[in-house]
Amino acid sequence: MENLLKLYTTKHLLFALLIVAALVFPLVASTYTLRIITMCCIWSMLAIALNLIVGYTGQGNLGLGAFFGMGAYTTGLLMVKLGLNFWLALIIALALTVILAVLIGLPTLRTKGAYFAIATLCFNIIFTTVVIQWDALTKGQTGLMNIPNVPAIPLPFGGQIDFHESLAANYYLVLIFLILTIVVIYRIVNSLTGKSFLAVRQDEDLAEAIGINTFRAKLLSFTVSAFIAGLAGGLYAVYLGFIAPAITSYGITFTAILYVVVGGAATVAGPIVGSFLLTVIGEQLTAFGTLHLIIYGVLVVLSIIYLPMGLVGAYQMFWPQIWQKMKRGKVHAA
Amino acid sequence: MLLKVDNLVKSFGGLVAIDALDLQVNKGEIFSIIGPNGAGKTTLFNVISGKYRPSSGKITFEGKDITGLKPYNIARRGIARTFQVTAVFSQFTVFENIVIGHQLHAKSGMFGAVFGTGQAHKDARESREKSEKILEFTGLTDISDKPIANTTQEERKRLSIGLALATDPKLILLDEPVSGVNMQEMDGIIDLIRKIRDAGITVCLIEHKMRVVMGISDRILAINYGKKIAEGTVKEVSSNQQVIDAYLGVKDAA
Amino acid sequence: MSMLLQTTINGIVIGSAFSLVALGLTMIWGIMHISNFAHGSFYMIGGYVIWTIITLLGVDFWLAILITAVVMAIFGAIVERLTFRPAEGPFSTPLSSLIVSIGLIMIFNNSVLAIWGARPETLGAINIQEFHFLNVTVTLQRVLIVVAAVILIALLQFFLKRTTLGMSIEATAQNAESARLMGINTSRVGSIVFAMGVSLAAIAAGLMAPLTNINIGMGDHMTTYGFVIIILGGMGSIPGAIIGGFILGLISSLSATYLTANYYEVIVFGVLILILAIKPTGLFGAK
Ligand SMILES: Nc1ncnc2c1ncn2[C@@H]1O[C@H](COP(=O)(O)OP(=O)(O)OP(=O)(O)O)[C@@H](O)[C@H]1O
Ligand SMILES: [Mg+2]
Repeated sequence: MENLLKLYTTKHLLFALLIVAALVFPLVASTYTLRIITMCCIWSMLAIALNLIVGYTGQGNLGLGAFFGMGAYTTGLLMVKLGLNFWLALIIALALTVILAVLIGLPTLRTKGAYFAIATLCFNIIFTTVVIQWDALTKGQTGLMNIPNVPAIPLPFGGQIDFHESLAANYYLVLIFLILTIVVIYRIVNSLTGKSFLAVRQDEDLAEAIGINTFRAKLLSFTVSAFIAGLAGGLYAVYLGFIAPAITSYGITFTAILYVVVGGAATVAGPIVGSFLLTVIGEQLTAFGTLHLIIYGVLVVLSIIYLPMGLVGAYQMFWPQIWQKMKRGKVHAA
Repeated sequence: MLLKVDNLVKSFGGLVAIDALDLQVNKGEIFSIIGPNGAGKTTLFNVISGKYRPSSGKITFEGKDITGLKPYNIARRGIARTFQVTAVFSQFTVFENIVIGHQLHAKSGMFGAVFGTGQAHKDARESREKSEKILEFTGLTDISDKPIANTTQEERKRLSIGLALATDPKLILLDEPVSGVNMQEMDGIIDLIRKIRDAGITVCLIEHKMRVVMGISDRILAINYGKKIAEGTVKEVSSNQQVIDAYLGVKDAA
Repeated sequence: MSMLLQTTINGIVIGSAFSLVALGLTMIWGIMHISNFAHGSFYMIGGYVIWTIITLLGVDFWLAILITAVVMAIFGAIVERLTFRPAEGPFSTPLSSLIVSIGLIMIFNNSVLAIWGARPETLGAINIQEFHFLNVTVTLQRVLIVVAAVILIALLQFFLKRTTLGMSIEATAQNAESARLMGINTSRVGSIVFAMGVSLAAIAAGLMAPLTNINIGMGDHMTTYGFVIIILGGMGSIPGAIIGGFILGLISSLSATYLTANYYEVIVFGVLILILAIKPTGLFGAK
């Protein structure tokens, strides 16, 4: 019990420390670093979204890129075409993303395993094709440009937070949404609902037999996951000011899967660790020129061979044993 | 009468696994179903628990028609089951298994958990308290924090029963709960089954071992090829010639 | 009328390639339960290999196909041993093979970029004699694609049904556990099947190479189409993959001509989602 308490508090202390570090980060970071870290935060949200449906609920959704794209394009289009401000555009975009998720989830979640993966992959291809071909609306392959910034937020004691000039302001915006997402996900996965997602992943028949409506659980997980992906997409659109069809593609889903698996599926920290680590490694490797994606690919293959449960998964599995050994060592020493 | 099955038929393609079967389970009894391999016992459970839709026939529970309902709905109506191949959630601890078994009684959902409502806390507390009781009842308290990978076959058997009990059922369907455990462990599980009945939960039991069935049952149903060949008290069924031919006879020969 | 005939013929030609690609994919799934999302990249590499053999060595087209098939089979076996195989383990999930595939796609596509450059390559004129009938024109190569595919499929059937090795592949597909008990080296069977699958994809790319150009993106659609086909035909089913390949070839050719050239993928993939919504295990899948 005492150990549990210690673990509990160290976990929270660590989280608090990380948040403080993230808050003071813009004061010390270069523009270049800040840009990358802001992108890491957006990818983390996407990876967290993917982890909910794929990691926790065990449903291989290969269509998450479409929901990321849905969030990005609806937010962008509402701002560019209708002149809505970001907040209103985001809210409408998220509502539409949720509706799309339910419409897609209802037929595809009737299938299982590989069939579900391919059905959602097909949905994603359809979505991207429509984005490319519906030129009049989306500007097709050219992409949607000049998406306005988040409107300035006036401060109570004069002055304002200006998103046009300040990279840090955008970083904080994304960071706040990331932290919110983490808190929400943490609460979900530790609740009975989250446990029922895990139950569905482990044994659907047994889950049904103890009163879990597995279809409903999957649809819920699918929709919440799409919502978070849409949110990440909306932030992406407004942060970069430019979106192209490629960000709606299943390649985006694959990237997110990579982050989740390398970080640790079905863990809260895994997707974030994976996103940050792989994005930063990817940036470092660009020094190798054309070789960098080859090296990256080799690292990916090596990581799945040697760390199949991901970094955080491995940590959770082996840390208690190491901890026990250390404690025993101390007892012996005393 | 708690459960009533009328003229139930379940066929897989050409194979008729349940053939015009009638049965009744009374409140508070231990009702056993016997029959040779492939007789259709597990299929009967699968149809009652909603895993399979019946081809025809009617199932009534507490006077209400439950034919064709989805498994989760049947579970919520108060029928719990275990599986012939012992099924528990293998990536949970013993305790987590029982907790999830009680989740169908939670009144709050995902949003309650996200916003940390009072109801959500109450649900979490109640499921923990209920789980402690079930662990106690099934004799699993000592291993409550064990991961499933480190448990024995007998512990998993008990846990699968505990998982079913966690749903707070009125009727529990047990599919061969003592297969694959040793004699001593078997007696323990038999005691547990009696305890379940004494706690007011009706038990429906599939079992091959005659010693167990004869010792524990209030009434017995014998089936073969999906058809009823006898139903009644232990005495009535064990003296039935058809039962002796179809089942006991085979057993003796084996 | 002649347009319909022309479109149908084109559909059958593309369908031949689809069938070969899907055959490899479905066999790899059926035996090894690997979702080889890098299949299209193997297809693409096949295209570059045959181009290199023909332009550098000046070899005859059919000999080049044969060499490509052998080279790619060996390459496939090596890749399988080095990546998919070691990724199998107590902690692997269905996602593991997807991750390996993603890594391989990165490695393959960028290696091809480094070796051959980004400029598309063409093979030049091969088998361009034309047949005219009923107002349609068909080049010899198109006819030969279909003929070659049919012969290959027949050979494969013969191999699976009549040879010892083929039968041990079938047995492993039915039930790996009992195949192992029967003394079949299922790990070796896995390697062989993977090599065959890669080889089939490369042959398909080689056959199609004279009709299109060879570029880095040429395999992207092959992976998704391949999976669509084997889902329709039932994962692991060989007849399903063959029939599904031709059906998809026809659907895509007909809808691109008659319905909408821009949105035909929406139709192809939309139909699949609809079919799965009604029959969640595919057209020919078990209930
Ligand atoms: N899902 C299914 N599809 C096809 N046939 C099935 C299915 N489930 C059961 N059967 C068949 O129905 C018959 C009854 O099987 P069931 O499992 O109910 O027997 P059982 O009485 O439980 O036997 P055992 O004592 O061996 O457990 C068997 O012939 C079996 O092969
Ligand atoms: Mg049975």
